[in-house]
Amino acid sequence: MNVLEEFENYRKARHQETRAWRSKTGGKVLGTICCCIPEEIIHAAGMLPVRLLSEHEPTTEADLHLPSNLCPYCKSWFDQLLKGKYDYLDGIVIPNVCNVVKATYGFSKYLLKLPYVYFVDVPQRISSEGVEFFTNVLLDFKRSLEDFSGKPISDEALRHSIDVYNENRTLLDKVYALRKIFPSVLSGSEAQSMVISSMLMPKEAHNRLLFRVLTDMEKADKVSDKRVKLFISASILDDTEFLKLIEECGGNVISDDMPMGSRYFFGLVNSEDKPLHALAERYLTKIACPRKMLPADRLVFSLSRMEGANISGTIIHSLRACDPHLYEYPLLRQEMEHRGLPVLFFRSEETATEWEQQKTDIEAFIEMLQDRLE
Amino acid sequence: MVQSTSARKSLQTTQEVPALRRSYYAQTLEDSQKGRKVAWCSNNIPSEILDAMDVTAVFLENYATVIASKRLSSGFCAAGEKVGFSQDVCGYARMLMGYVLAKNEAPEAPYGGLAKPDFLLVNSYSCDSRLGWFAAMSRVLNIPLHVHDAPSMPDGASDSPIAAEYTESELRNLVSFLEKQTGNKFDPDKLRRRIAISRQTSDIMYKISQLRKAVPSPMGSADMFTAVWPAMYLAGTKECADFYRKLRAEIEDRIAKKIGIVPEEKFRIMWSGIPFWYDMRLINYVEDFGGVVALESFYRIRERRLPPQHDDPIKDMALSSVRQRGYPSGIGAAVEDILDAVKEYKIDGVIISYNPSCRMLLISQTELQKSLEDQGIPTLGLECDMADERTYSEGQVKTRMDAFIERLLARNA
Repeated sequence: MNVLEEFENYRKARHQETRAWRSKTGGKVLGTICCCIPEEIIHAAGMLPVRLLSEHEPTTEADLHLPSNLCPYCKSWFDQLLKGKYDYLDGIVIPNVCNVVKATYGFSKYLLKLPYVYFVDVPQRISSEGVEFFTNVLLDFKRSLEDFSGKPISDEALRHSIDVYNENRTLLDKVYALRKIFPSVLSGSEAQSMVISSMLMPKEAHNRLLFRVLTDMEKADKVSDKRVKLFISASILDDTEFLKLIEECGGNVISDDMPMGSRYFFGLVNSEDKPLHALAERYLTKIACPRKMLPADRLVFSLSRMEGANISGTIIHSLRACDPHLYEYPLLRQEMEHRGLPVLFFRSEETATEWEQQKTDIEAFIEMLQDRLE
Repeated sequence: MVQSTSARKSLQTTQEVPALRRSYYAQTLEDSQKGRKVAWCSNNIPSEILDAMDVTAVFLENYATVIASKRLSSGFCAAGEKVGFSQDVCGYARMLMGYVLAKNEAPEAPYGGLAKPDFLLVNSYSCDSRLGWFAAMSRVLNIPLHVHDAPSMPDGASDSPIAAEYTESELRNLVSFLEKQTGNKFDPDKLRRRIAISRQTSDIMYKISQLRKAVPSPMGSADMFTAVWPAMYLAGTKECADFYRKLRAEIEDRIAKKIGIVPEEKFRIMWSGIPFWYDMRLINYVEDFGGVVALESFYRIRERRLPPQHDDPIKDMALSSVRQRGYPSGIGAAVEDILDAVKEYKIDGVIISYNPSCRMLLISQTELQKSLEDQGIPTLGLECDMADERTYSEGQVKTRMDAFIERLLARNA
């Protein structure tokens, strides 16, 4: 099997794969949301962190408890938990991010019968005081996991987990860097599938696959890529459908600013520092989430991800009712256009019915970009 | 001529608020002209600290409600949307972005507009809108922005030393920022005095909340939605404490004389969520049928404030805010809170206001409504934005209110 297919297949079969991991290892599985939970601590506790993902099908059970006009991502994963689709979870860990994610902590405790529901109080301001506070929050989190598993988490185990995760970040970053030079060897949707599967799979197994990807990329024929090179700045896109749509229309996303893309793996944890402090520092200061990071710094991040990618245009995608991204959009658009990059904006629920209209818009956008290139 | 949208008030004291509000906005303009530093703030920025630092605070969410109450919101919202802010985002923020970014497109601003800001202060912990909105304004106005953070603590009050330390360090950061911006030295005694007045005021308001349990209702939400203004925007001032003393005395007098809102009180309603500021007369609508909106979810002070927790006023603020929370934390506590309120205040039915652009409050409303109905308490869900009047259809809302009132009257017959 092509190694790239392995990522996508794992994502699609994630429930069976995770059940299999659980019965084989006897380890606990914790559901996570957003990029700002230091998964290394869960990993060091011998547990498997898996990212909760949405489905495109309409919600039903969640509608009894949650209003409309709410983040479709949160509503969908909560719906699946209510329906028992994540019946293998031993618990979930919810971070302090946006209002809706934050509220799902209370809803999870109130409505879900899970043995473990934990809230990680991530500061909402990037500062040295915030790093100190977050270090203490992570110490509490570590203790809570120790209580839950009945086993202590040593500094050595934490350092090992940091190394495994840093290796994953370095490998993903290498793949992204190669894609900028040789965009034909790995499409945007394939790259995204690779990143999403990293949030689901045991990291060691994912690292092994990434080594194979890099070897394959180096060996591959470097044919020129006729597709229009695009950058995408998005809120949650937790499967590859939207990027595949772009590819069907003749575009190729070369780099991104997405929580389920670059933002997940950008920035290493300082392995020389004390583990919890190093984790707090990386997870608070390096993740370019608009809920905490101010627009000027977010822009620096986006521009660094674009560098060397020879981009022709930008797609900005925000889930409906995703406040942090919707506030940023007007200024981000202005900044992109100021740099000569046309922008196509979507505010979407990511339902299958929207894709037809989106396709028409993307086709027109790409045609316009092609005309500019000629 | 702007059509009046204000609710009809029953209490004399409440009728003093519009003059207080006008004078506050006039004072902010005068302060700015005299060269006093002006901060545009989000709600929950501790005004006692600003006052102690001689900084004039202008709270933008309040100004947004002023715009809405004058039925000017559609023009301001449209201006905000024109510069790229989606209809999904907070109606208050959209209006103010319209005010800042699209002045030529927006209608004439109430009270002669806002005092020009020297810097912006936003709290990052309560709602997502604020950070994005203030960050955007900071870029456009090219003035400094200070972000004030605090722990989230979704399990409620605690003795957590790490939460108290972080709260304290964030308050000290705010003070340092203000010292740098104004050149004024922080005076702890002045802050201590302000906090003492705030505590007294809060305790008077707690007493008022208790008094409002009386039947017939001595003070309904038509008055309270206005009467809460001094506590939110004049906190820590003598003027504010005096206002609530006077209000308490009037309520006590009404209870003694058994004066209600309607001649014969037939049913009592609670309003959960933000009201529709562009049509506050809706609160009075039930009065024609012998009903009263006797309570609202927001402005009830649930317990007496803790006594001073430390001699150092900043430490006192930090410890108090960690050890006591003003609102229930999490949906489980919110359900318990509303069911208790229904019982304690003898509420017959609850209007659940769904404000689609306020995600922070919206998220709980479905579960609250479900929990009330599960307990046999009639509810009416109304989905209208708190500020953007384009989402409101008076005819439709009143038809639904009629059906709800009939249900309550039949139940109490």
